[in-house]
Amino acid sequence: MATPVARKTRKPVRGGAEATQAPPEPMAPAGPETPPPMPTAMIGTAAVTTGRDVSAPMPPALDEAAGLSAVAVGWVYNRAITHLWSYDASTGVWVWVDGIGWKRLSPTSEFGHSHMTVLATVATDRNLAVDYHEDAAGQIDQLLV
Amino acid sequence: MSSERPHTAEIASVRETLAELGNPWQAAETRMSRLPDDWRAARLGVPAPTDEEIAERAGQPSAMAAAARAAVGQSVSAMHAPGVSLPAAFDLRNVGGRGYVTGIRDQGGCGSCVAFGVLASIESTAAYTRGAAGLALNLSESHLYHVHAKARGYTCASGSWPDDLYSDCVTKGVTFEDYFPYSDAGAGTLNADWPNRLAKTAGVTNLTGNPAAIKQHIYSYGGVVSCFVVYNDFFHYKTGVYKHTTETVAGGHCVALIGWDDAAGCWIGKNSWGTGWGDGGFFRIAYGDSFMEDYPGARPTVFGCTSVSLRAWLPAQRALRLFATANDANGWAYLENYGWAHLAGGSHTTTTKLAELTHARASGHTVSPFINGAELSSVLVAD
Repeated sequence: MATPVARKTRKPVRGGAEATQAPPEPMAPAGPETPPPMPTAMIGTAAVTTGRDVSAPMPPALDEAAGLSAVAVGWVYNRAITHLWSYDASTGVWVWVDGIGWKRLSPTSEFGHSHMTVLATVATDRNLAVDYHEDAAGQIDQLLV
Repeated sequence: MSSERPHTAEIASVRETLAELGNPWQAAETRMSRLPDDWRAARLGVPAPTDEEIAERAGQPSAMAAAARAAVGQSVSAMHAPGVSLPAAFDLRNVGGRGYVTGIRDQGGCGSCVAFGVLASIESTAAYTRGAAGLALNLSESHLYHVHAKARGYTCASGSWPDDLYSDCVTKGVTFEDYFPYSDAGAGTLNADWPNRLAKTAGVTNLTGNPAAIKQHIYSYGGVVSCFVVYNDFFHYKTGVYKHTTETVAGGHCVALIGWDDAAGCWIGKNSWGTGWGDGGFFRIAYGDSFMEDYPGARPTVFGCTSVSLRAWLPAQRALRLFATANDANGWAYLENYGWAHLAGGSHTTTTKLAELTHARASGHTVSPFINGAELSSVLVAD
């Protein structure tokens, strides 16, 4: 096994533009096969977003009735992501949340956008339920798979 | 009666007294019963109080018992506590069906009980504060006693004190059992790589003389270490709520407290005399009895800690959940037997670790994590 490399310990800071929201504190799960608890109260604050880029392309309509969904602001639990859509921008990924509609992954940072894309991809591929948090602009700024 | 079994007479005498008291606990032949007096004394690793020190504490047991009972319902604000007020009964071995107490150990013929009590409390806190019942941390009592305590001048014969040993757990840390397996004689060698397989504690809290604070700490952070006076009948304890039936003091001892039961009026303790003593190695002792909450003398003797950081490879386990945010380097993994760990190393390594972990999460492959503090430094995913 490779010798581990010492790294400086970094404690998550909550709140502000440089915030690193921590996942919900795990309470004792009910059994060995039980996944960790769902996010309850939001810990920290939502990522500061740049707002919707009105010049960016919009995803194709998959459900005429649903279209672009309303802003929820806060946590949404136990949903399926069934489609992914992206356009030629580094933060241009949208996800289709079953029963809700298209949601853009927050473009706050390219890395954060990529990280949430990775999680959304595996959720779609393996039909894994997700919990997510919407910011004030209706974009997903926290994703739990 | 056989001269090779003098303890049978002892036990019979204790049983007689217990019967007069309504049998609050049961005396039986234990592995400690069978030892001669000097061997028993060798396992009592807290310097014994003087008769004067004990006499000065005459009113303490009843006061401590009253304070322990009065704590029920007291509000609790700690994040890890499973409720908002102190319940009438609590046992870290069964919190919502999950256990946060590691296995019973055996200190053998060395007065190293303080090391066992301290590490029992740390192992419990490490699991409980993470909600990780499967952590199964096993720290090296040999490292703590035969290296750190020895450096302070303590020996198997001298015994030691929990404030000193807890201090070493904060400043130096203690390696895992497999890096220095326990031997009562201190045999064996400490693995030279021990700084990379280490537990360190923080938030060490003196709880001496405050039963409500002891309960608050157990409920909020896990087990606490405590010293108490051992009377001669304690060696024959099998089950029930112990109250001493003799005034003959054998010495001082140290254990971990892991719960309480107001209905029975007792603490629940974890001893280090193997599973052949007591109730599988555990015991219940009446509030106030044997000066459990405040050992006679000037020195504080009840301590807990609020967090335990690890630097070590942990066994392969599943990544149950993954979490990321819109921020640059904020990825987390919930490991089955550890809890949440932040992905260390910045934006790029968060990306690569998330790629590995999503693969593991999706495929069911286990993950061997190297944990450094609250950070997941390295990830090994393998078939």
